[in-house]
Amino acid sequence: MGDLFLRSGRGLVTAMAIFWLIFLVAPIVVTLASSFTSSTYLTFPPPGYSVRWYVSAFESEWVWSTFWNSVVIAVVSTAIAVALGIAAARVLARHRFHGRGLFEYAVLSPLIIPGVVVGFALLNVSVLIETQDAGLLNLIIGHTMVTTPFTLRSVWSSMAGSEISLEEAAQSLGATRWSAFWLIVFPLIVPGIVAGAIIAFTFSFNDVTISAFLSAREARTLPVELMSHIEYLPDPTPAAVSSLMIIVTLAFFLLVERTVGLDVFADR
Amino acid sequence: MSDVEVSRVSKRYDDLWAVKGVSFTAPVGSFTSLLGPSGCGKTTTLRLIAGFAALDEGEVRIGGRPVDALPPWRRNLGVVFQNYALFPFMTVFDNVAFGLRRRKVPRGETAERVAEAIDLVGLPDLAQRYPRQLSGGQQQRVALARALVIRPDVLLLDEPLSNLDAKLRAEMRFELKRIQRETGVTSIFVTHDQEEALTLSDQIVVMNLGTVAGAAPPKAIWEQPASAYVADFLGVENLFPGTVGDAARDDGTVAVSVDDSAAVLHVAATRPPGSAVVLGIRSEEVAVRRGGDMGEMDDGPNALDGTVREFTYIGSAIVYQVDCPALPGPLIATAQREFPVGDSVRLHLPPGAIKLLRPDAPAGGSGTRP
Repeated sequence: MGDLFLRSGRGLVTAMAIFWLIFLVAPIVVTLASSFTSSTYLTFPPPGYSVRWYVSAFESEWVWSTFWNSVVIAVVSTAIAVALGIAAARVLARHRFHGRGLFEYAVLSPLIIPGVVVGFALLNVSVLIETQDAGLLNLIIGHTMVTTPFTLRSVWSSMAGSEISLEEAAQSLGATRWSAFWLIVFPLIVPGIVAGAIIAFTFSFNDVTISAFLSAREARTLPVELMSHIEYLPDPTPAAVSSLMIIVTLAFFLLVERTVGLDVFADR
Repeated sequence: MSDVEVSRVSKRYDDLWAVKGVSFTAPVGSFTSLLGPSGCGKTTTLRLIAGFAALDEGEVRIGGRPVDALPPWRRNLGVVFQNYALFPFMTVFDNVAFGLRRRKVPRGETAERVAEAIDLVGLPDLAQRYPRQLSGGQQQRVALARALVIRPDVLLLDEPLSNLDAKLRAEMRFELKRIQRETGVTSIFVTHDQEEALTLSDQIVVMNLGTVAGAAPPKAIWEQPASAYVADFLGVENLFPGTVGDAARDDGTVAVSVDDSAAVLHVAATRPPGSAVVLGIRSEEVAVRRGGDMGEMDDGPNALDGTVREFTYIGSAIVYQVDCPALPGPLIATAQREFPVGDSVRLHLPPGAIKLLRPDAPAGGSGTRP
């Protein structure tokens, strides 16, 4: 009986692993492989191999300008999302007040509402307040809105509840409210901040749905530009750019795990 | 060292009074316990003294100076938390030195005072360890050292022993007493454990529903509790509401009829006739012998027949739950002799051992609504 249960459990795990390989890893492999094609259009498997599309990517002005847009938007929106996340998490962790539940749902709602809806709503708002041409600003606001739930959640969960008495202990020992936060609470929530920031940054950098609505002529993000490029032109430059994005993202995660990851999560 | 005066202090959370009109004084160098069940307002009172919460009414004075306008970091109080609240990413040394560094104490003096404090609380050489590498008892001592090293005017302790196992708790109780005697620091100690309060305190403040139900030294509160609630909390197992009968008798006793029953008990006390009282007697004051056994004991006025319903062996004695037809509820009695369940027994309640207590609200956990 238990044996049967165990065996069917193992079968399920194997099935999930196969699904994961087919639907998540395979497309990445296909993209990587076809980015090294020698032909002028995307095919798989490629008829021959070359790095010409990587050269093309590095020489394309549109890649560079939208790349920098994406970086600026991701950095700024992540910074704001982290600050808002810390503030909101502290309020939620410490205070019971009327409308607390409503506040919680309002902040977390972008996790539930589809990106298309959020993007369309934000576009309408920007038209209403006549900021539809300030693409960069709109994108930063939009991304901040959608990524704040991630930073809030991870910072909130890193506040296990013990930080309240730790903060009070620090205050009773002579630390002001401000220094009690920086000396005691902040070091404790660094893992939550780092984790939230990684998710926020990756989300912002890779987002298409919301950005598609908010990108103005002068302010397009790299993924939005890639999408329209794929739509209109057959050349494999986007495959090369995508491959680079995959590699950079992987390297980024590895780096974080090796440095901040191990340092921050140890010794506590 | 300073005394603490808490006068008519109230604190409201939404529409619930967590603390309502609490007053007591902790004299210089004394050990005061705030005793009560969870939700009685004892921890809130401590937090108001510490400045972690703002009071709505009343005043707290430390050393004669009102402190209500001062934030916690300006009050110079040592606080020991139930969960110790040690800073997890700091060594024992850095934890203890934290308060001195906030006070800009020079490096050399800091090292000296930290070593002194660690020595005072009886910690071995663990200064470079992290809190998670210490046992519960050691963490407790670090928390004490950290609170004492700043030479606080008052030491506040919030159930500091409740997370320790029984053996360690007994040991730390002695340690707390020694440390408090050696430092002479005015201490206010929050607990729900009557034994801790009795063994440690110079004064016990029993709290109920956000108010003070009684305040007295341990011996006085043990021997003559202020009310039925205080008696209940201090382990008087048998409490029955009653009414004082007509006249005082020649032998200095009054006859008190137990409400909702036929029993009339003689009590060595004086009360005006008709007074509503609560009769209280501790289990160990009740004498138990075999039913119908006309042994060494003379049948006094307070003899009751009963049947053993249940018993528990506690090592030093056996605690019996006895059904007495004459009483509205079962009686708890302690004896050395063994009686099986269902056995007939005869109970004797000495008139001098019965306390007549002031009736009050039943023991409760939550605050009162305004």
